[in-house]
Amino acid sequence: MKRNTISKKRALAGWMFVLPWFIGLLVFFIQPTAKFLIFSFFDFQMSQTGGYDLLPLENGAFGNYINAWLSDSEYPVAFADAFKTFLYEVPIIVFFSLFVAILLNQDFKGRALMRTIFFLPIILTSGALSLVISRGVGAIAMGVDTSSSTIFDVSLLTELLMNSGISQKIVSAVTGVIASVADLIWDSGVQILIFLIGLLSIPETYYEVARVEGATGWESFWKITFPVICPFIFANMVYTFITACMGINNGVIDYVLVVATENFDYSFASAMMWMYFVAMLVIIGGIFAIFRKMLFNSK
Amino acid sequence: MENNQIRNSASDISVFYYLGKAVWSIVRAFFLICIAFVILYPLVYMLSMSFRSAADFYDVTVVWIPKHFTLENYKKIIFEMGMATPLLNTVIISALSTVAQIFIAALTGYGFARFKFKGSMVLFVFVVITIMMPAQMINIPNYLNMRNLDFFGIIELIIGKPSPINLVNTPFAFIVPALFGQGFMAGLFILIFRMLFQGMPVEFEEAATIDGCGYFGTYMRVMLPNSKTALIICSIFSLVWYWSDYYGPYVFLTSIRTLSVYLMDFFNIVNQYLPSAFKGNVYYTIPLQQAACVFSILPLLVMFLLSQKFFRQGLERSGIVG
Repeated sequence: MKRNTISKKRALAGWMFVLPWFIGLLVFFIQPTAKFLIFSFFDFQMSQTGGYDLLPLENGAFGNYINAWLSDSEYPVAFADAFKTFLYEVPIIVFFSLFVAILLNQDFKGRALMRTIFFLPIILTSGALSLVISRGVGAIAMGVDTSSSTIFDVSLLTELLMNSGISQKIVSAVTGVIASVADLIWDSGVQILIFLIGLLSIPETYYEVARVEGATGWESFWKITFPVICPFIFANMVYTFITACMGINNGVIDYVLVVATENFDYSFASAMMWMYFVAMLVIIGGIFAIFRKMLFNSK
Repeated sequence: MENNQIRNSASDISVFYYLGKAVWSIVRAFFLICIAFVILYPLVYMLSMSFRSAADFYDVTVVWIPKHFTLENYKKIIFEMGMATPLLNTVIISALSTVAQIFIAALTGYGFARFKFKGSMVLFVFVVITIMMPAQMINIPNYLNMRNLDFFGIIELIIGKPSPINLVNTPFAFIVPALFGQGFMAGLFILIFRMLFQGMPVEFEEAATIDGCGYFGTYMRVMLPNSKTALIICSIFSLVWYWSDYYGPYVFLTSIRTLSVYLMDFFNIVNQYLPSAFKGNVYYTIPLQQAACVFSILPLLVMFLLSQKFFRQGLERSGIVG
């Protein structure tokens, strides 16, 4: 009986801790999301007064959804591309950033300086600045194609290699690899730090004990580091997935935003977005199911 | 004899061990230096450009270090092109939102990590969903929402007309959602804090409870101080993201200009400022633009260098050792 009251009290305390967030969820997330869903079944028109009208669609409530697949040429292609992105980009970024985070967590001279440098991509790649950099200010000046998406400029290297008499094919292969590695480094800045938070939370004494007991580095990685890092792998997969598939660099999102903000076809954009969103939610659900055991073995 | 053999094999192992260690440290250094080069390249490029005069820009022999070192570009963007006001706006918006956001995210993360209650699983799924939904998509319904901010119609019920609270075009359009755990990337922070608190030994809280702390007291006095490093790292993330977000300011602010919006509009602004002969001339605009870029991230870089101390000392093993 007494046990019951304690668990009730704990449940109430739990609710109190999440209450501000829960109110916010209802007001600033569920409410607009529901509106956003309703828009997709109508023809959304902004009115002059600042309000909006919802007009019925010509071909039924699901007209926007059907049009996205049948009469839109770009959407299906972009949709398929997004899956490709998911399948190779996300695992590569997560593994790469785990590797770099482990390197940064080892003891060596200049570690503090290195950690400082590895924090920089977060500042440089977020928002407006990355657009300014990646739209290639340098490229404008040099008269090179401005649409290149890499922050790291390989044009100088290309020139150098071409001048030293290496064939065009090899040069473009080499610079292609370098450019994609450079992109990989820029894309994994946040992930490296999330892993670093996890690695820093492991007490040094655990490793000392393992060493005294005769464990190799390989063994202590799997027995000590990996279990702690597992939830962080989940967080990073979710984060990488979202920046890759839900960020403005993604083909679908980019297209949807163009439709919404430049063509002002907000309800059509909403319908396209919902289908994509549900597909992505299924994938996240899959990742979640894999990591569920590790996440919910709470004490 | 036997003893000797053992000693021999032991020294063999240690030779290989040290050789392997030396090779590894060289490989590691090479690898890290390569990555560091890629990261530093655009920053160095920006710095180099921003200190150049127009003459240096024309000069092919100037590759990295300007011959005529000048602060002229910075003076122009700050004093003549009005970049100081956007800086102030950005500082206010991102600092206040970050404080609110991190406080609530840690609170919520703790609630999910340590308490089991009905529906906690469902709510946690919603945390993940909030991370997934691109902010750009719900910005328009949210805009309509914030123009007459109401909590489930309660305010309308009391005063009998649509809520007069208008957050649009004020910094509160960012601060209030952050205060209710719906700021920029709030879900991710909740996820991180949840994991962090779950990984902490329960003994801390048990000790605090025995000493007579309530749930909230335990959280404030034991759990928060012990997660200082994570709090600081997450605050930096949050600050940087608010700082450089340009989509939100475009939607919610019309008369307040933030640094990111300033940077996006830079070519229009610079064309208004330049005399007509130089309009659209890259040789004048690019050094200015690079100076604006450096200026816009300078406070972040400074803050970030100051916070290095916390990374260096790691977690200081947060009470586990001492």
